[in-house]
This record gives sequence, structure tokens and C-alpha cells, in this order.
Amino acid sequence: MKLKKIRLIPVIALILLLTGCWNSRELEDIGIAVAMGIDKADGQYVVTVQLVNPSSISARMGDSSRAPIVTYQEKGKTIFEAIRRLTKTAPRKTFYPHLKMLVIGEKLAREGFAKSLDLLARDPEFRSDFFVVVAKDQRADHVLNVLVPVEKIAAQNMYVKLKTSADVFAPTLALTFGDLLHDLTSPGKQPVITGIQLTGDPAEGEKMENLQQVNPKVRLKYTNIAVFNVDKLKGWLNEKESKGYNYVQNHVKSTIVTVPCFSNKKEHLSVELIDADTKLKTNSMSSQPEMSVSVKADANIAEVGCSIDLTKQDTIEKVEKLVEKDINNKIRSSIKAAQQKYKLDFLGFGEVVHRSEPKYWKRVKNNWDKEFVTIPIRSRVDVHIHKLGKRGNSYINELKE
Amino acid sequence: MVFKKRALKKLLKDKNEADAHPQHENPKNEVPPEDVLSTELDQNVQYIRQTFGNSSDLSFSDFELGHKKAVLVYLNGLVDKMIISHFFENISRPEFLIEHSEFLTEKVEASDFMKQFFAPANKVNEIQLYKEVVTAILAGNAVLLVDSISHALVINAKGWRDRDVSESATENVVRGPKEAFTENIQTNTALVRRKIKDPRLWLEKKEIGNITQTSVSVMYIHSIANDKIVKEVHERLDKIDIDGILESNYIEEFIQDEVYTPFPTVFNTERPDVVAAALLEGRIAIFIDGTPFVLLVPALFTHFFQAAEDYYQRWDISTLLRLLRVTAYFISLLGPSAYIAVINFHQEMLPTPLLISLAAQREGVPFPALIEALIMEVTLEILREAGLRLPKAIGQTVSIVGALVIGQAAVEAGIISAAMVIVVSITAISNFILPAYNMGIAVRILRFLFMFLAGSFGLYGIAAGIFALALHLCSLRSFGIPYMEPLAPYIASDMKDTLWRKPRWKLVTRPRLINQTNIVRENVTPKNK
Repeated sequence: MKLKKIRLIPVIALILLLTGCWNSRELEDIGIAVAMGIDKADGQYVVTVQLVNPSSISARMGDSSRAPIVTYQEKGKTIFEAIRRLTKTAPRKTFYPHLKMLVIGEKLAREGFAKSLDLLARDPEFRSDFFVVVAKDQRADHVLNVLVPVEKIAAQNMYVKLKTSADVFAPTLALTFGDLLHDLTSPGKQPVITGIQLTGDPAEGEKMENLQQVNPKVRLKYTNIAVFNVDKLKGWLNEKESKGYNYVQNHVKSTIVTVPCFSNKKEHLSVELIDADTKLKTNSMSSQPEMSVSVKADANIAEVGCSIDLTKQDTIEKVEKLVEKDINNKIRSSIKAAQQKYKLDFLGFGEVVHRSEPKYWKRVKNNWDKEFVTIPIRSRVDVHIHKLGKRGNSYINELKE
Repeated sequence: MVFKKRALKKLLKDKNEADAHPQHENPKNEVPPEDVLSTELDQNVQYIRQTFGNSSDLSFSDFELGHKKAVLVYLNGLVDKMIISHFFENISRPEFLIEHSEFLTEKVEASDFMKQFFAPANKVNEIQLYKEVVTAILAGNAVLLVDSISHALVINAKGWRDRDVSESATENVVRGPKEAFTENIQTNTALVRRKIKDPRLWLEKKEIGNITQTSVSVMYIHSIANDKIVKEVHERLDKIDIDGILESNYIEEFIQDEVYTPFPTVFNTERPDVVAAALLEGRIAIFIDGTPFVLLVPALFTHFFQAAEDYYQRWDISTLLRLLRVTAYFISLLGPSAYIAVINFHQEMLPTPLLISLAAQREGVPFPALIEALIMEVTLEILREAGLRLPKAIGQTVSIVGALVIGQAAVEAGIISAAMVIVVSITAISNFILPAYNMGIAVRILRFLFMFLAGSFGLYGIAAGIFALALHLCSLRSFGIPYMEPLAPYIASDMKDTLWRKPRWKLVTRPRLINQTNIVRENVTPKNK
């Protein structure tokens, strides 16, 4: 009996070979897609896919004469159709789990992009952790066709850039596809998406010369945040409003605040916010509707461009006041943009109301944006300055006359 | 079950033999006259010469013993030349003949005479049968035959060249005893006795091998070792029916519980300290003459991860080293297969930069990852085996050729990707970290199986393989003790010395399943039990 079992082993081994290695893909047979752009033209979707060209990136065999990325473009009535049509032009089957960026052309964004994204939400090959941006004043393929220095893969460049600027400067927003889906469907918050802009001539950006310059002529630059009514782009916030948005959203991890010196209004000083914590609150909405934003932030003095005495508690307190005022201004401006300019609740107060006043929410949720603009919003900012850096007073105080 | 089958086969074999040579063995009390030594010296000498086929190393030293012809028969090289020359020196002294003339006139028993003569250092026996004479000569004794006397005297003159006790070649330690067993069973048992000075260290000897008559000794500490297992060991040893035992593996293959497994269920070591430690745990050692490798049973899975030095370094160091060993074990088992699975099936699992880097390396490689891995693994196994068997001087050439030609050139030629070379090298090095060579071989075999599973089903295949492996391991027994003990069945008190090692003073109890009567280490005498 035991021997019979042993004889089964070669049979089982042969059966293994019969599977034909189901779903097996050799690495050299897949084209790694790192960015995808969606536009609309002639009633069809235009899909642009940015693939990596591994052999020109590898540290050892790096062939710098070849472009590190290559893009392919196809049209289709659905995204899936366009992707499958890509196989006619792309040398390999495209592989999407490593997608970093989704770029939506402004034209499509203005018309409404939501109906184009079902494939990305449905197909298991797409993760939901790539970032979504809108190409400001551009077609998406223009953005994807730019060669960028330092980080050879343009999509990786865009990915890291967005993450860093969202982390330490904060007028941009690192919005993942998963978050976007939530914002699109949640009745209490309108989506916003960061914009990306091309500086220079798009045709120049495709050339390798763009990589060989110290100061490349064509660059990719993140702009501020675009406001959407569901999936239709309604307008762009400025930097102040964008920052205000991030404060309200509690997205600010670290940023800087520059305020005029109290000694001389023409000179400025900057503080570095190291931590900011935002709380949104609502009153009892049915009796006395009112909402509030309160921000608590910790900061360090980063740069002083004027002569003030930082060794005095009094001065620090004055600086704190100025910073608080500045942040509050930004928050007010974003609230103003939401309530007066766009009349859209992209700040997400609806979600807060939903959580704290479910009964009231049930009544107003279908009409929330109209309700939202009438509700007064108070804001309070509390900043605490901790450290001064390597020095106490600036050497500016001791400058020779 | 396997054992039963083997016993059956043996029975069949016995029967065949009996059919081939009928009535070869008679009951001992009826010795036929032709088997008894003759009184004619020439006839006896002739018989011995014939039996040994005129072997050139058989010496017949003729001399006269009080006007009687005598012959001393022995095998050159097996006897101590000093004892033989001492014998002749004494015998040629004139006073010797006068003193012992009674013997020569058959008034005194021959044995008494010789006993006086050689006592007490050398044992002297009296024998009567040809068969006994032959056995005695083969054992390295000198046999004295005297004309007209139908008795022969066996003089213990054993003394051949043995390898000295030297440093262990296969199980090295930085700290700890350096000595290792030799090929001589008596030296070996003495080395252990020197470590355990207690009369309860029992040694039971038997001869196995119809032709080689190899001495095999079973050593255990009575009152610590489990009597049932001792009995089982004896039973299994007694069932062995083979022409010769030349190495401990001959025995190992006969007595192991499960034949169809790559995993060893009998431990072997050439270190006396390891044997002593095992005896103190209640395990049983089997010494085989002619090999420095001593078998230890029962041997459990975790034993193969324990190096001698684990107990000679501080416990925290040992624990870390053991965890390292277990990690290396898994790398060595799953390294190439995990790589194949991820590269062929689960590219989404890799971080993007790593994927791109790997993809760049794979550009232009003509083989699928599985074939690539197989080529490298087989090459490595060939190199390893070649390096092992070759003389040391050539072995170095092999390693240079292997490292340069196979490693570097294959990558540069674009036949193999650099990542694969890294994976295969790490796997190979991880394999060497295991203290037990035979456990390492088991992993080497299974690694290929896992590579095929990974090539066919990806991580799913590996997971299925691991399940099957776990089931198989749990089904194994070593002398009735579950192989995976104390992991499965889980015995919390035995976990102290498995994947990690607790401080010495916490290792108070002996392994639970191996010995059930005498558990507490600090108190060897059983407390009224």
C-alpha cells in the first residue's frame, strides 16, 4: 500500500505539468504600467498608458540613450475597450497593479469623469492606492508624455512629488483612488482633486533633450485644488484656499506659515508647523444650526527676517497670535469659497453632521449643499510655539549699522 | 507497518537460505567429531590454512615447547607485535621449561598453565572447536596449538593501529570539548564513560553482521531512559539480518520508523559530549565498531536544530542563533520557490522599484524563471558534490570555477539573471547553517519539489506544499515518539529547549515523552516512583 503511494508521486508530478502554469506571466512578458491618462475626444475615451522601459532604468545595464518611459494611446467607447486595443500598439500585455498615477484631462473633468472609472474600481488588477490628479488646462496625454529628470520614471516623479508637497507644504492633496470613490459617493462631501500643470511646450517635453538640461524647459508642476460638483470640475481654488481646505480636512502634517513682522510690516518671519490637529463640530442643528472648526497646532520658529527679541515670552506670544490669524484667514477663505463662490460642501461638513446629528441629516441630506451655504461656521486656531532652532535671537538683531 | 513488512521479507530470506544449505547448523550439544581439533598438529595447521585460503597475512610461528612441536597462529597486523615477542622471549627461557614441564606431560591443564603464565594482563581461553579457533584468530587473538594436545589456547594479543582521538571534523565548536569519536568502539564508549561517572550508565553489547561480526553497543542510563524504548531498540537491532555492518547508517536504515521520508528519524554525531547530553535526556546511544558516528534515538525534528555549542554559549546568544537557524531553514527550503512564485505569478506583491529592477535583469534571459532556477540549483548541487568528493587541492579549483564561471559568466552572458544567482547563493549558504547534515539534505530534496509547485501554482502551490509537509512531519515517529514533539503534540514544558533555549537553571525537567519516570534533572534518583 505504501509502495503504491510512492508510485503515485510521478503521476502527480506529471499532473502538475499539465496545468500549463495557469496564470503564470514571465516578468519580461509584461509591460509595467505606472501612469494612466484619460481624456475624451469625439465621444470616445482616449486612454494613455505610461509604461516603464526597464532596461534603460536598471542600475547595471542602464542604457541612457533610450527613454526610460514610453506611452501608448488608444481610443475606445469604454476604458476596457481602449486598454485591450492597446495590445495592437504596445509590445507587451500591460500590467496595472503598479499604477501610480491617474491623470484626468481637464476637458473630461469638466464634463464629468465618474462614469469612466468603473473598470478601475472593478478589475482586481487595479489597486485603489494610486493618486488621482487633474491636468490643468491640458490633455492628460500631454502630462504623461513629459520626460523628467532625477526620478527617471515620470509617474514615480509625480507620485513622490505629490506626496512630499502634501506632507510638508500642504496646498496640494495626495488623493488616492479609493478616497476619490468615497468622496464621489458620500453625500456629505464633494470631491476635490489636485491639479497638475505643464510648463513649456508639450512637444519639447517628449524629447530626451529635456532630460539633458540643467534647467529643463518643460516641467510638471502641481497647482492648487480643483473643486468638483460630484464629478464635474467647477473651478480652481487659489493657494490660500487650498491650504485652508487642508487645514479644515486635518490633512496638514507639516507646513510653513509666513507672517509679517510686527516690528516692520515689510519684513517677514516664517514658522514651521510640525503638527496640526483639526476638529470639526456641529451644534444641535435643528434648534440653532452652527458649525465650528478648531485647529490646534504646534510650531517652531524657522526663519526670522526682522529684528525682534525672541527671548521674550511676550514676543513669542505675539508671533503665535500672528500665525493663528494667518491660519484662520486661510480657513475663512476656504469656507468662503465653499459657501459663497462655489456653493458646494467640499469641506466635508456634511459628514460631520451625518455623524453627530443623524436625524437632522436624514432630512437635509438630499439638499445638503443648499442647506450648507446658510449655516454659520465659526473657526478658532490655537498655535503653540515650542522651539527656536539653533539660535535664540537672530543675528539680524546684532547687524552692524 | 513498514517494520512488519521488513520482518516478513526477512522471514522469506531466512527460509530461502535454509533451503539452500540444509542441516548446516546442528544443535550445539552434538558436535560432530570432524569439527573438533585433532591431536595431530599438522592436521590442525592444514585445516586453518585451508579455511583462510592461504592468506598471506596469516602467520604460523613454529617453535618447540619441551620437545613438542607447537605453532602460534595469528593474523599479522591484528595482534600486538610486543605481546608476541614477549611470549617467545618467555618461552625460550630455560627455567620456564623446567617449571612447567608438567604441562607438557599433560599433567596440568593447559589453561591453568597459560593462565599462570600470562595472567593477569592477558586473558587466556581454552577452546576445542575449529570454528572457535577461526573466530579467535579473526578477532585478533593469537592461538597456540601444541602437537598431541587436542586443545588450543587463545591468547588475547589484540593490538592494531587505531586513529587517535582527534578534533571533530564535522561538528566544530568555538567553545566546548574538541574531542571526537574514533573508529574503535572501546575508545568511543570509554570517552562517554569518562563524562558520565555513574554505574547506571549501562552498556549492552551485541554482534551484528553474519560475516563482519561487527560489535554494536547500546548505551543508556538506567533509571533515566525509558525501558520500553530500550526494549524496542534491542528488538529492532536483533531483527537485523545482514552480511555486514560497516557504518552506522547500515543500522539506521534498518531501525528507523519510516522509510519513505527525506527526514532523518535517527540522529548521528561524532561528539562524545552530544552523546552524553542525549543520554542525560533519556535518549539511547548506539555505538557501532568501525565508525566514529554514534546513533542517538529517539531523534525529534527539533534535535536537528540543536548544535552542541548552543549549550556552551550563554542562553540569549544560543536563542538568537537558533532562531537564525530556523529562519535559514525556511530560506533554504523556500528561497527559490518563493522567488519563482513572486516573479511568475504575483508581480503585484513587489515594490515598484524592485519589480522594475528585476524586470530589467530578466530582459534577454532566454529561460522561464522555473527553468532558470532549476539550472542554477542543479549546477550548484553538482558543484557542491564535486567539491565534497575531490581531493582538497582540486576542490579549490572547483570552487573557483564554480564561483567565477557559473556565477559571473552566466550573468554576464545574459543566460541567468543576477537576482537568481543571489537567491540561489543565499539558499545554499542557508543550507550550510544547519548543524545536522542529514537534515540539510532533506531540505535540499524538498526544495526542488517546492520549486515545481511554485512554478505551477505560485504561492498557492507553496502553501499547499507546506500543508502537505506539515502533515507528513506530524505523521512521523521516532521510536514511537511523535517527530514534531513538543510542537505537535504541543508540550509547553518542553518548549524551553526547542526554537529557543532558556537559561540553564530553567532547564530543570527532561523531555516529557522520551522519559516518563525520571523527569527532574536536578534529582536523578526517582522519588519513590
